[in-house]
Amino acid sequence: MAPEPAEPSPARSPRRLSALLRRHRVAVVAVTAPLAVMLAATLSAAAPPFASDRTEQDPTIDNPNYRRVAFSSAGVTVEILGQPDSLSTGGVTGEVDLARAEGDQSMVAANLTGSSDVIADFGQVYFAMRPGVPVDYQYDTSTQSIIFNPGIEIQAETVPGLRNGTDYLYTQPIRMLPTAPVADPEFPPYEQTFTIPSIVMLWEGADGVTGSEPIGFISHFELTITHGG
Amino acid sequence: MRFTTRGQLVVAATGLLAALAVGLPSQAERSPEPVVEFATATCSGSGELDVEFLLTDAIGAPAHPEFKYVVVSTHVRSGPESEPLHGSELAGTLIPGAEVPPPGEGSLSGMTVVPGDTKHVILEAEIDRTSADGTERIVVEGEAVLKECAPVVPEQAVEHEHGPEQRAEQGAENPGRVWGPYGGKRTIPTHQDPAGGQTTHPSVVRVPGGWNGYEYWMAHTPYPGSNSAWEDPNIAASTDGVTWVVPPGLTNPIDDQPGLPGPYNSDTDLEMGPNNTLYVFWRTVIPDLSQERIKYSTSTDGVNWTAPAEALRSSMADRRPVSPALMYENGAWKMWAVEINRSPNRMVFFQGGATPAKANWGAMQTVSLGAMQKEKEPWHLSITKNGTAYIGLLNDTALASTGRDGDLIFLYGTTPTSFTNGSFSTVPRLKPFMHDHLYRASMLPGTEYGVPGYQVWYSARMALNPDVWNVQQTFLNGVAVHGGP
Repeated sequence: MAPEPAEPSPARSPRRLSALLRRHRVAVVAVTAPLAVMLAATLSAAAPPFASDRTEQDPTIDNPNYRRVAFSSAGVTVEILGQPDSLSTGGVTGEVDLARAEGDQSMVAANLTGSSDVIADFGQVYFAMRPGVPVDYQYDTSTQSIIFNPGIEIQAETVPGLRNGTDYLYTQPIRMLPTAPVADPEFPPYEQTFTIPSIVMLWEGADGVTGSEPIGFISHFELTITHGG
Repeated sequence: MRFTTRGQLVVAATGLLAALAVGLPSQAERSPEPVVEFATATCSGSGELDVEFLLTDAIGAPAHPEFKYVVVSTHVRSGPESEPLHGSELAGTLIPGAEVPPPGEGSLSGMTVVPGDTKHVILEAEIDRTSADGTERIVVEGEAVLKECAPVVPEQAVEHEHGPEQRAEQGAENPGRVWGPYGGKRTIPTHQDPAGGQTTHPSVVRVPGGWNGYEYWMAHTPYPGSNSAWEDPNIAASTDGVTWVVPPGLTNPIDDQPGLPGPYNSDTDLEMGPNNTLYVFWRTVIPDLSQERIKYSTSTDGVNWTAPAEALRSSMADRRPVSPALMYENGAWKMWAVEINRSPNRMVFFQGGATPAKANWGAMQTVSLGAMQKEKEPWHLSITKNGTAYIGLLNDTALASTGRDGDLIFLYGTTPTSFTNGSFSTVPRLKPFMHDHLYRASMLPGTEYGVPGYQVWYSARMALNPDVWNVQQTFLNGVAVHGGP
């Protein structure tokens, strides 16, 4: 009786596989080489950039070029067409985000909130950024300034000469300059005062959409950055 | 492990192919470039196509702060399928010197107006790509393949209680049946932009057979970005009402004011007066004096204009008649305006004398208009004559606003102080990418496409920050039109 064929020894299988691969080594390398290259490329493209992500997740955390600050203002002086005298919002306090790009001295404002401390010609007023997206507004970024883009919204209880009831007044983008420029400005510019260098047109409107012609203009507007928000 | 030479070649080739497959796209990413995209083509009521292109980064393009892209030049070619393409003008922000915004932050927009039978429009832009390594010039191109745009011919008004023919015989218009499509943008030369600039307050006079070489004359006030420094009376002329030029020898503006916070002009109105003389009227606001004045100048040749004279002076505390609309009739001047001193605004009328000089005007009378649209009040207007009737277009505004959500309402009256209004806008307030607020218009009885109606040039703005103003031309259907050629 012929002996039963012996079961292949487990120790021999790797040897057979190794022999098989060796016999077809050219084909194996030809197939695996491009696969390895493509796999490496895919992994490097898909892998999350852990190191950089950590710093980009929230630009406001520990960012020396971003701060929420408090401000105070003696108010906005407004000339309304047809009104014989200048009008004032009265003193205003509030907060605003200031940010600047690395190396720039110009600061961009966002998330403006402010309200009048006293009831003056416009009744109670509230300040906010004008609704809408920032518009193309060219300015010198190397000079210290605060940019309100797309503008400022002043919500007024009443606007003399316009009507009785809540009105919204809008500016176009505003650039405020320091009243006393300093050689090496610090950020945030605590205790510094900024002002509009020239008149700013004022428009009535709603939801950031204005009327067809200005109702007047802002002749005077200063604000002082007082402390962190 | 040792390979044969053939095996090494096979391995090297496959590896190279794989590296190329992976490497080519990433090489492309290192040299991103903007693309010209065809955005929209709007068929206007007058049968022209407003074609808009965007110069922008491709969708999903990575940020490329190391590169800056600045437009050097643009070239638009357009034409029907079977003919060679010819050059067209491009308006908008896609202009030489403009920088392409970074990915995700917008695009540059360029619009061209082409005839309705245009099949292809190709926009080519030369761009400088600047990086730390220097500047390289690239050319990008986009194409629009268009469908034909035919003029909208307003349907004749449907029957009403007496039928249109009977009403026409009676000389009565039905204001509620006057309507038309939004218009085609007109290129109007301004003293701010002689090639065609933003402008408003069009007022058109038509002289059949022509007057000093032109059949159509227009007064208007340039208003680029709502900047009152440019808002001064300008004159343009045309042989067909479509193509407008500054008559040779004429220097605009007729009157120049500095603009806010100083005095500024607005609200032009052009009228043919006695002795074959053209009169242009406008409003001047003098904030420091709290005064508003209606001024005028005259010309017998359209080129030489007299020094401004004053028709009406008002203290802003007492009255503020804006948008004067005048008419010389039966040897005397009439003037309508909108009094805005107290909301709701009202339409008013002044009876004048043989000249528009200020001493000749009678007391301000309130004009009966009928009910306005809900939450609306009058803002600007124009008036003309149709047979024995006074007709006009009233531009309204949201209550207690200064020209918002404006529509153009047809007015019809048999006396100067009593009108009925059409209750709805004769022209759609919205024209995509062109306007969302209608403004002062000018209307003349006429005939187009064999249909009696009204030629209309209206100004309108796209409410942006700042606004964009243009004059559009359309044609309104009318029931009873007299005097149309």
